[in-house]
Amino acid sequence: MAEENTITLKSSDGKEFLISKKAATLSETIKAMVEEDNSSSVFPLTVVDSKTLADVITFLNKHVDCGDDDDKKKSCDEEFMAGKDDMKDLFDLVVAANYLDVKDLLDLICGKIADMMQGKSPEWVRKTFNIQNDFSPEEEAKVREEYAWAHEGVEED
Amino acid sequence: MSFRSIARDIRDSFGSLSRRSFDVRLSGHNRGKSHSSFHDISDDQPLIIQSSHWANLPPELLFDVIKRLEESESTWPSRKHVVSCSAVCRSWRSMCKEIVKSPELSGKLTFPVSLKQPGHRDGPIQCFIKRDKSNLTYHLFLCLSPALLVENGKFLLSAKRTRRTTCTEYVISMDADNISRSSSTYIGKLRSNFLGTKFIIYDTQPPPTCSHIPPPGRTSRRFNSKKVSPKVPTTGNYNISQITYELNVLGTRGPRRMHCMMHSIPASSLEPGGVVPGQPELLPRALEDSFRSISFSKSLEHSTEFSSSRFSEVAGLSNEGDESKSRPLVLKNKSPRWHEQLQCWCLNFRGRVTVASVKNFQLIASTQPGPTTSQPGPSDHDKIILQFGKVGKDMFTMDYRYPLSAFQAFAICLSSFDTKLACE
Repeated sequence: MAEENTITLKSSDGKEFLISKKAATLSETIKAMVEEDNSSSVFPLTVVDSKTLADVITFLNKHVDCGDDDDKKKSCDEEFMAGKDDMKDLFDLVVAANYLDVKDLLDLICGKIADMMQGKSPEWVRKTFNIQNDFSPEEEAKVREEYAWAHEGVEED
Repeated sequence: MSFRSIARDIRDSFGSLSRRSFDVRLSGHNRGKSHSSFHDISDDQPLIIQSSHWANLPPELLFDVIKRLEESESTWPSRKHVVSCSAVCRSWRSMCKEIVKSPELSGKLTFPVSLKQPGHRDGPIQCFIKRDKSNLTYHLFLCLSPALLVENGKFLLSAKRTRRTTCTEYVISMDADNISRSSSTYIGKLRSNFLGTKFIIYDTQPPPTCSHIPPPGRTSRRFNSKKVSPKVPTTGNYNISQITYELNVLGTRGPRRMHCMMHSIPASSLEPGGVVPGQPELLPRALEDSFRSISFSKSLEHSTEFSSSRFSEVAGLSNEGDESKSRPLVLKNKSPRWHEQLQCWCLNFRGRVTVASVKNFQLIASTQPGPTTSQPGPSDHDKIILQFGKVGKDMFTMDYRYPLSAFQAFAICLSSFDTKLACE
């Protein structure tokens, strides 16, 4: 009865991944798809590429294995995030987690991004995240003033 | 699903454009100003080949990330990370401003704008003031630990005392070192009369309820309250409160009697459901609409309900109940008890003040303005709104709460530093 308990997810670049229904339905989006269309066994995910989907599937399988053991989940999550420092990968992963609606994964990556921004200058954040400084000179002056005040008399950490 | 994927595809096809400029371009089409908007973009945003994915992060994810950062950095000095985050770009900034709650609700000071917002409703915000007698400066810090005599705190405001021929002036600044009226960090001042018995707090910005503010003095005639525009120059001088010290009837070492009329805070702010109208923005001259948490038109709406009443000098206040809604808040000092054993006047500062000084005081709301002082009711009126006292040589604690702001509280405390020729 293996076929009934597994489904196939198809990435945007056409690769197919076999995954247990139990793991796949940790994603609210896939759960809704499966419930809507019980007869299909292949579900195309047009916005998730194969590299990212492979990561997501690793995460989902790990979480199914961990069951309700929170400590185990925590160490699994740490293992999962280790070495995930590429900004492009993180971006793809967070967007995929959001699209697939996997709360645990979303929490994990958003937390990681928030941690990365701690103690960083706005310039660092702009450079790392490749974000344009779109302030007008007037706004920029105001922002600088606020920044100076916030850092006044505060020990650097 | 499909909407998200389409939206992302469109964003990706724009590649180098940030989300903001993408919006501008679309809205430009709608307003029929597509030509100029389009050119603005090409001028401001030089070609960037690399695509800027993160600028296109869905707002709900950005919100999630910044909210986490905000929640994990609840105290200074790490609170500065939230301010750093708001300095990245416009969309991040508006997100930060949306997430960070006002001190009234959170009890936290984050952006400089919070210095002019009412303090926490649920408890005092604990600060300390360091006095430097050698250069006549005062520095206000946020306490970062419960210890009374600490060396480090989060710098909030500074002030410099200047003695003039007819008065004493305290210039109040957001800059710890450069304390001058000409600096853009100048946010207001405290000025005394010749005897040091009467002080006026001037704000560089008009309060939203400007109709009952006494007309500006000579120096600021150009900025008549009727003509206030959202772009107020720093040179504005708005009288937001008056502090009066009564002649001391309790002898030279007794506590002083203070009377603070807060023109910009209605007495009704302390009643159940009461609010301080508007939230002043710091230095709004440099702000665009997207930077403002409260729109100016909203503030003006509030001001209409105050326009019918006109407030005269402290002594001449009317006691009519009809006007209770628009009456300004009046603070008076809590009367000390005479301690038989210690043979002195005592106030309970709950451990926050350790050195006896004529400067120490506790302010509570006066339920009835004017000379008739009734017993305060069991409501918010009982609460100590501002407490100030000495804890060491040149060290003082200042604990304030709603509805006063840090700026107002600091200015009131500065008046207590000033020597009062007639009071002692």
